[in-house]
Amino acid sequence: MPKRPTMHRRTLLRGTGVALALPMLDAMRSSTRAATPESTPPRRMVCVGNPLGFLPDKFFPTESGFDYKLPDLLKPLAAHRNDFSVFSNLDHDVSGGHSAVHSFLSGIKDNDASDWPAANISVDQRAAEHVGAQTRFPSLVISPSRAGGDLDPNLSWTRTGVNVPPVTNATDLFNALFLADAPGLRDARAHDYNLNASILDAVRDHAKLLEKKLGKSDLEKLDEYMSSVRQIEIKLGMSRQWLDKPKPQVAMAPPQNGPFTHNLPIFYDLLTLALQTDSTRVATLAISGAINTDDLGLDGGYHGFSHHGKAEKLRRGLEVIELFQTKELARFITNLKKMNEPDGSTVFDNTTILFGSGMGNGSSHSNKNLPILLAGGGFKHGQHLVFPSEKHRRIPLSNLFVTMLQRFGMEIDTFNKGVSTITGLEVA
Amino acid sequence: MRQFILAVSITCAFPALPITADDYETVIRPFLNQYCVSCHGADQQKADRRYDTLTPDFADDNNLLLWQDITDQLNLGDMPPSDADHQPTADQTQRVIEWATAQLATEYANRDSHGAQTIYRRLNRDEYNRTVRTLLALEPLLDDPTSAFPPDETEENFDNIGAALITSDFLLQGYLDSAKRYIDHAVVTGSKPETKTYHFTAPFYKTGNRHDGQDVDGEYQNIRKNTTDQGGFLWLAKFPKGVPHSGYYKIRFQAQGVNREYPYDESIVKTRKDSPLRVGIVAGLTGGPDLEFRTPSDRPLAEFDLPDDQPEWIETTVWLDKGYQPRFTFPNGPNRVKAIRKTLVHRYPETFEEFITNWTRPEDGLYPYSVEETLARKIAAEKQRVATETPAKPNQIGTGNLFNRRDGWASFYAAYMGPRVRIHQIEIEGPLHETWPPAHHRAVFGDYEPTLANAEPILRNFAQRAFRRPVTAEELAPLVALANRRHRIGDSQIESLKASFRAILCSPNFLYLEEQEGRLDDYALATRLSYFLWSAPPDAQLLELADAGKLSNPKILKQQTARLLDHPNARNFTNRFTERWLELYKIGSMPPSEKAFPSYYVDSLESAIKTETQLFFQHILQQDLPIDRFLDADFTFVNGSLARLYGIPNIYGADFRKVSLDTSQRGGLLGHASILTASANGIDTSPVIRGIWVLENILGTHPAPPPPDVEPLEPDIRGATTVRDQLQQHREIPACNECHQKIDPLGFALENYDPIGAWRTNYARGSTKGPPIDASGQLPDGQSFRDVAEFKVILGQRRDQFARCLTEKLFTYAMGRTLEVTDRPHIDSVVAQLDNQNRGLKTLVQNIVASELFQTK
Repeated sequence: MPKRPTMHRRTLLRGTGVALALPMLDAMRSSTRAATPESTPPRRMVCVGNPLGFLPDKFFPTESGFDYKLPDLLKPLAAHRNDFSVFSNLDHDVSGGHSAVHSFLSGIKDNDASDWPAANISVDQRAAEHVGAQTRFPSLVISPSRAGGDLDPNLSWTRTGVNVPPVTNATDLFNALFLADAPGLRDARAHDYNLNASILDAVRDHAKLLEKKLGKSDLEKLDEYMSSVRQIEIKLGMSRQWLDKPKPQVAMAPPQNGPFTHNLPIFYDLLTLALQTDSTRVATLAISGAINTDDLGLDGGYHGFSHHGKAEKLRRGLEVIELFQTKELARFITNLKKMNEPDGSTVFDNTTILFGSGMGNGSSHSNKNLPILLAGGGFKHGQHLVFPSEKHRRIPLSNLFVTMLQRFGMEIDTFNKGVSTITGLEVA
Repeated sequence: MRQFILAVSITCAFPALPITADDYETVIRPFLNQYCVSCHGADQQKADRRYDTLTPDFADDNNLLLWQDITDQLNLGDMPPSDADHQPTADQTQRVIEWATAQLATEYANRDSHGAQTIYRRLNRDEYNRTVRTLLALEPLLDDPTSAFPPDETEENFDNIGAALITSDFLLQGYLDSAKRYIDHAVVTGSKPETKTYHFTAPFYKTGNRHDGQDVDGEYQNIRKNTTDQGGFLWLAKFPKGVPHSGYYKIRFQAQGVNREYPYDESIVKTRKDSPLRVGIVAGLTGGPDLEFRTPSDRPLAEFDLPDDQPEWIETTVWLDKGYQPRFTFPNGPNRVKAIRKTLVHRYPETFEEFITNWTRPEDGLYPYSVEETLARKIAAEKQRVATETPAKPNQIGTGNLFNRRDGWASFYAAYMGPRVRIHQIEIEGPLHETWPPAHHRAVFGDYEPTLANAEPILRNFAQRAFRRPVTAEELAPLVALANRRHRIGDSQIESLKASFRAILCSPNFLYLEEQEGRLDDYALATRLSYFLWSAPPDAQLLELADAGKLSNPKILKQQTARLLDHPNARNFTNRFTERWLELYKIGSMPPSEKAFPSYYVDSLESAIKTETQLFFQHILQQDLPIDRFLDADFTFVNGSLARLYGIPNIYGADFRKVSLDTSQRGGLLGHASILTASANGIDTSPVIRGIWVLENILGTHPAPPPPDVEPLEPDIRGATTVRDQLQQHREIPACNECHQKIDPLGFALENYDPIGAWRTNYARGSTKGPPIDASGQLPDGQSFRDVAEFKVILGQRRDQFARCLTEKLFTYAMGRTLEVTDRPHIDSVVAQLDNQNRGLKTLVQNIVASELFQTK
């Protein structure tokens, strides 16, 4: 029996000028599950990552503790300074520059994945497994622009070592979340689910015949195929559960897709609405390295600026691009704070936001001392937490992921390279 | 972790002297102790190798690997390093080589040579796509249902390694969706659609605020720029639904190139005055994003040179999917027109007086709220400026990204005499079906009526072609049952059969290449051969030979290999193999900066540089030239753009031709811009990355990754320091020097090539000249060179090492697996065989196909 969250009949999102008028949804009726009191809002997790890091001297405060001076890149977040923490000296102990960035949310590079029991599963996908079919989308993996190759941060990975492809088009994302099915589409969709299920039955018969023919090492590959069949069947089952539940209606007009600077605010707004309508509880937003910088008043590419070689003019260009990212984060936080939960808390209080990169320094291509910021989620924030920098005393960043997953409601003590929760970060 | 041998040249000469077991204690062990163990022993294990604990037990895989490596290093003269205090005599070294070579030969002979196997391999995306299109006779289809597939997993840069390729639920979902779309395209209903002709005249579409002041309604409309900039597509607003049926269409259009020799400095506009202007046709799907701009559905269909000034009729026949329309482009047109406008207005203010005097209202062109703060500030500043500085001066006009008059472009273009492609009239005629039902419909149904009564023969035929072998009754049953079940629950007969076709395209029998243990049967051999040389399924002739059990006959196999190599499909081998071996797939993933390398865009270098390497490989293959041409050659293939990049005079236009080279700067793969671009990052060059590229892809060795606690260099481009200076400091750290002394010199040799492969003598520091390039280097064995030309001479001395490297890459690609230590003797024998022949590439491919390794799972 799925858990059902509760939500208000009508909620206004002032920050974006977007009003939500929700119909009476299943999800809005009180949950029948005793363990989930009506007034307990769901826990949520949002991860945001870019492939090129942040200028370290503009991101990390020079002082530790509560009383630090806001560095330039964090100034847009001044209004929220008591609602986020910054971390120094956390990383995954990997190297490889661009080719290691994809380990940001897992701690494990894909070619080492086979050494780990859950491969290189990322923290968001681990959380998504926990949610299952309770929401229409177990997770949203989105990216406002795509570069292809190592200039995409490739953040989300499943426990079978597969990179989850992101939704990259603003219109597609809106349609998936909120576009009401055209008349007849429900039946067409039901027909499609049914047809795909029949096709899967037939190909499973073929796979079974092959089981008798193939040698041992080949069977492992066939098993991958079989488990993909099962996964799709599970997803078909989840989709069927949602087939007759209408999508939430929002007052936001379907957006036009555009370049990165146009899409990023829209993606954050759609994400805000998706969380508020409980369409998902886990979301990962990837910022790619191929973005249009004209609209930021720059002449040159993001990747080019990141190779600044300490030249001041290039560093300034990079700072503009990075500031755009922290400003948008600040706007997102502001909007989440405006959304109230039934128990009097805000959506922000129940949403843990991780913001950072798998690249520590884009100019030197270091994957050490990653820029990490954690906001919301009901933690006691406001600090710059500085962890030991000596090699033998370093704390794995994945410890923070353990903390995030526990906060998400999971009863686990380890996650990939994370062996305990992070110290110094308390629940408020 | 799968190990692979460090593949370096060895002598295949077997020892003349008998060597006794005692030799190990009296000769070999003392040699190791004296010359090797100080770096590869208990105290340090450089390059992760330790020899004090090494025993002569060759049956142990780890020992075998180490002994092979020792033999290779000694043969090569790379070890002990030339700067070591103790150096063995040539005789001493030779004794060790002879002893180890003999032991290795014995061990390899004793071993089961089939230890390594190709793992049940699925088609990668490229193979899948070509396979389905071949199967359904839908080769020219514009729709690409695989565009949403997750990227294929790679190993050692190859994307066809069975063990590495994963099937995930995302991919299987992709297969389900793709099968639906493909089968829907293949199957037609109803009668043959009528052929119609559509006429279009100017204006073809209404330009927004960027229309051309020189367009003449009823006469022609201009294209002024490249599509890499925003817009640039001339599309057909009066054809809003595109073509009504899929099929071939004849497109006739009248076009004209004007102002090729435009009156501005070429360094501003950048379109080449010495080359013909070109017109392109790019299909786009209607009903989606604005067709004036790039869309995900863009499909380039054709390109033509235009004569100067005279309007010319051009005719071409292309395939269009239902809903697509042809759009017209100016592929070598100017790029970044905003910047061009700004510069032209500054340079030629008298020409653009109208534009300058009648200008800007700052509120136009407001950008979205995301930059509202900055914008508000800019608007305030602009208003202030306008208020205080009227009349505006030329250097303030048309400069901002955010501020221009609504008709600013029209007034600019009215005066602009830059190059244009002018389109007068367009005619589209089709669909042109020679037969009905069309070939793609017959590809699934054959000559059968599409009824359930015929389900069994229809599905058997299609499944046999799809599975590349006969189909059993057990395999057919669930397919027939599926169609019947669908019909029972209400689907039409034809829809029910389509469900079964979809199942066939999602079956593991289709998606994976099935090979039984041991020697391949004829069907598996046909499949392996055809995916090796065509990246496509075996054709009817190969399957007939397999049916008859004749393909494994060496003579027939040789004939078939020759036939496949002579077939146009062999282009797929050239393109895909070079893409993987030489890492050309990386081109475009870190695109060069548009500002620093404008020619990369205006000259369409991205495709030109790949074409050069493909034509070069293709030529060596078809002519069976010695593989040594890859290391140095006095010829290559260039078009006008590439000739300009290389400084080769008097070559114009888009067509490629073979040219002779002075080999001091070009010649051989190392002078190919494709490789030099793929081994850079679009911004700057790194001798480390290029050095590793040469080691891995030319010399066939794999340098160890850096120790995890070493921080990478932080580049500093502010002063006179060069990357060479920084690496010099890096190499002063012993832990770094160990590997970098092998890597860096190879990269230094290529420092005269910039990130897109142009020759340079100085580094760039912004727009000014930076420090001079020093491309000299010294290899660990003491050999030194002054520049790339001398470096190529040294490489030529290592041609055996290169032959082994290329052979290994070819085997890896051909078999779909990485190599293992037990493959070594097979590789050796193929290389040795080649040495006795002409060292030709085609011969090498034939040797590989004929080898036991290729014909075994």
